[in-house]
Amino acid sequence: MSQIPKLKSFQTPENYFEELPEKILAKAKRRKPIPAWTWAAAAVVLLGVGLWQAGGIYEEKPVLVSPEAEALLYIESEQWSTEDVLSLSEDPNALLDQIIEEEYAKTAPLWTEEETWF
Amino acid sequence: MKVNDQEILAQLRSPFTKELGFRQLIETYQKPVYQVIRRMVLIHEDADDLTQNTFIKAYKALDRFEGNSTLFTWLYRIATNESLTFLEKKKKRFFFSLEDHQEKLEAYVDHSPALTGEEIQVKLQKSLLKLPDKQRLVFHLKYEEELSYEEIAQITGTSIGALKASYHHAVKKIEQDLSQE
Repeated sequence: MSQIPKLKSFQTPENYFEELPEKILAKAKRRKPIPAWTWAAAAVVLLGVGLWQAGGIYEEKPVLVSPEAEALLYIESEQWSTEDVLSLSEDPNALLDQIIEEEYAKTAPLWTEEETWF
Repeated sequence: MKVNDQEILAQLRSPFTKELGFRQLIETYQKPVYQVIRRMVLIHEDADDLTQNTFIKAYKALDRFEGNSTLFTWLYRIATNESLTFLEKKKKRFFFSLEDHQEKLEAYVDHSPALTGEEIQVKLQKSLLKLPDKQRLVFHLKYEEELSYEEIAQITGTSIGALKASYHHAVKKIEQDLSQE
């Protein structure tokens, strides 16, 4: 044990601990905003519907698929990569977290007695 | 003025002094909570987010605090859960091929001035990064924070026997790793 040194405390930016209580209090008071990706998704849908409508007015061609199905076609035909889809969102991290929640919803709780700690 | 847990809890439970109590809670425990999180996630911006989340979660879950443990161990339990959940999420994100958080942390250890530039500190941080997250947490709580096994058991909800074994394995691995270099 004697050969393992103690870690030093991490440095923080100047006045960090003086300002932190105010930041936390302000955050605690704030109402939970609607996630940014919801707005991004709504904007994409509205834009899609708008283009679909405009297409109907200016071109007489029949529209074969909905904007959602069209987006799916782009993804499935690999014309849009994962990064392309994420870049449509204002907050890709929130979108990823949502995917992870859905994909891993049934994983075990974090702390379990049976778990391996070795 | 130094306030104790009972005073903070009394303030938090009264609607007239709740905000003052929350401020006292943050001011009393922000440094240890930040340090325990930072040791796990290394990067200041991540530790900052998780520290804020820890206090907000504690504030919202105050009604469920039964007083069976100290505020310190309760906050540490929330903080360590936040840190492990964060690291777990980062690993799962890597599954979606976006970034390898482990590589990011290793690069941080190599280049961050926050690690004071001392070679032995960098070596130790690199050894610690090779441990599983929960083993690393046990090592920090026991060796760096000098908490008792009873306190760590309260924080992690794990048996003392499992913690002792985990700590023993962590120390062995670190000693081996440091002596090899």
